[in-house]
Amino acid sequence: MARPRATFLEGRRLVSLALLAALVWSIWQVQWDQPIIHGGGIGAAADLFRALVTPELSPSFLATVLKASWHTVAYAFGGITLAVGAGFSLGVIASGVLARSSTGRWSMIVGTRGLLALMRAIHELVWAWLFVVAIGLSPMAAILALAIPYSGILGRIYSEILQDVPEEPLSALRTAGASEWQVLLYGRLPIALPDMLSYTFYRLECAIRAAAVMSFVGVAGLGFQIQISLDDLRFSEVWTLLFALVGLILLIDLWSTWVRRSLVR
Amino acid sequence: MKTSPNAAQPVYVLEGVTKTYPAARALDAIDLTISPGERVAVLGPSGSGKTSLLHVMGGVVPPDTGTATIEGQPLTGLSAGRELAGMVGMIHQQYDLVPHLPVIHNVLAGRLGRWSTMRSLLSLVLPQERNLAVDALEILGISDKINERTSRLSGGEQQRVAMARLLVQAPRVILADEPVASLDPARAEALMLLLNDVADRSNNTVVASLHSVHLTRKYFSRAIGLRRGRMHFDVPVDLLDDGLLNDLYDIEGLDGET
Repeated sequence: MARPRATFLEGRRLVSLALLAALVWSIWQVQWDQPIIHGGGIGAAADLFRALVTPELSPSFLATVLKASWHTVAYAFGGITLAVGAGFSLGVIASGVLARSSTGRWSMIVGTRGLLALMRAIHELVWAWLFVVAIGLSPMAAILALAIPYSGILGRIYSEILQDVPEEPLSALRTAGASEWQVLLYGRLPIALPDMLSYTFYRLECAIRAAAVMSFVGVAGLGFQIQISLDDLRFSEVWTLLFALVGLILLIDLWSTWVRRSLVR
Repeated sequence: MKTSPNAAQPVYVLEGVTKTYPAARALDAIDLTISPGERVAVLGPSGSGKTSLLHVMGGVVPPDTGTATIEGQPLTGLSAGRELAGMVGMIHQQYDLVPHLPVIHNVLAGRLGRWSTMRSLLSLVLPQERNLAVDALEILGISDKINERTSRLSGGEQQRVAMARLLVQAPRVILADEPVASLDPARAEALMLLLNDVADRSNNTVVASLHSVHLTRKYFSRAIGLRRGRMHFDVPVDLLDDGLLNDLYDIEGLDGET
């Protein structure tokens, strides 16, 4: 397994040097003679952090927080559900594991990968703008805006996980007469499922964060409330809303741990 | 008449089979005829081409040159897997089960060659031909594990699951690639007994690669020795003597004891 010796300026090393050069150049570009935080901001920052210990906890505001959290969670779940469906179908095709010939495999992989790249190249916020313009301020705009890039991301990851399944159990299935569809059902999917699930949960977390930000474009949710409270400089309310967001992420984390544990058992 | 090459239509006829991998010549002009019901042990030092021979016989890889037929049909024409699965079953050293599936689905995987895609999908929810799996697991003495997750079984139990899969697949030929290589002598003996038992049930032809002369003499009718991809000897086991073996394992400095 001897590999030819790499010369000093080759491949990976060249990329590393280019990145290092970019870093040095970017530090060069900083104008060090100006303060990094502008002076007037310090007072506002102090107010903001003072409010950290006094979050707004009045029942009426908590009801608002709960409703906003509900909206955010609903958008995130709507988006991720569509994304899992589309990402799974596209991911299976993009993995090329169902193709019989190698030309078929490569056209499948290249075609679907291109589509997946297109879907995720555009950020969910940009999709949200587009959908708000196209279909107005509706929950559907937020859900679709999430679903499209997330399908692209999940599809790509699913396809890679399906490709990376160890070959031995699969070839044992083939010698037992299984077709590639059956190899998918009895080998690839059961083996890949824990990894796919774990990544999907991680993406659900991301979807919650994204759904919260999404509401800045004008649909209801935690982000929308944060914007309103910030506009009125009610920092205590901002913190309550942020804690709600953290709480949601923690809940998803707990849920994911629980599901994965019951899957491994 | 198990060992007589003229008894019936041969199961395997290999003529001038050669297989070359980038690194080395794995098989060099192999001629081999195997009759139904024969138990053939393939001996030879590591890297002598045992696995390549089994892969060609299992239709896993095509030979570069030469012809290989099973029951009169060229192996390369059957390599779709489905037709071949009724004829040839393979068992590996690592059993190659899907650890995440319950035992029953690993056993029923032996039926996939006979099932449609829809039926195999349905079977994951509502096991099809369940009685076949139950019978096979009963023969192997682990029917109580039928719904257990396969990864939670011991090595010996997983071995039995792999055997049960072979039983429900019901091939006419069993190919075993170093089935006992990583086992202690007692387990190796137990596995050979199981394999023999499974093969006796439907008078299977067995071709297995192994390193143990003791097991070869006990469970096989014929021994072939491979060295550097060439056929070194091909004898009934009673003619297998130390002279042949020493010669086979000579330069490599290995010996073929248990």
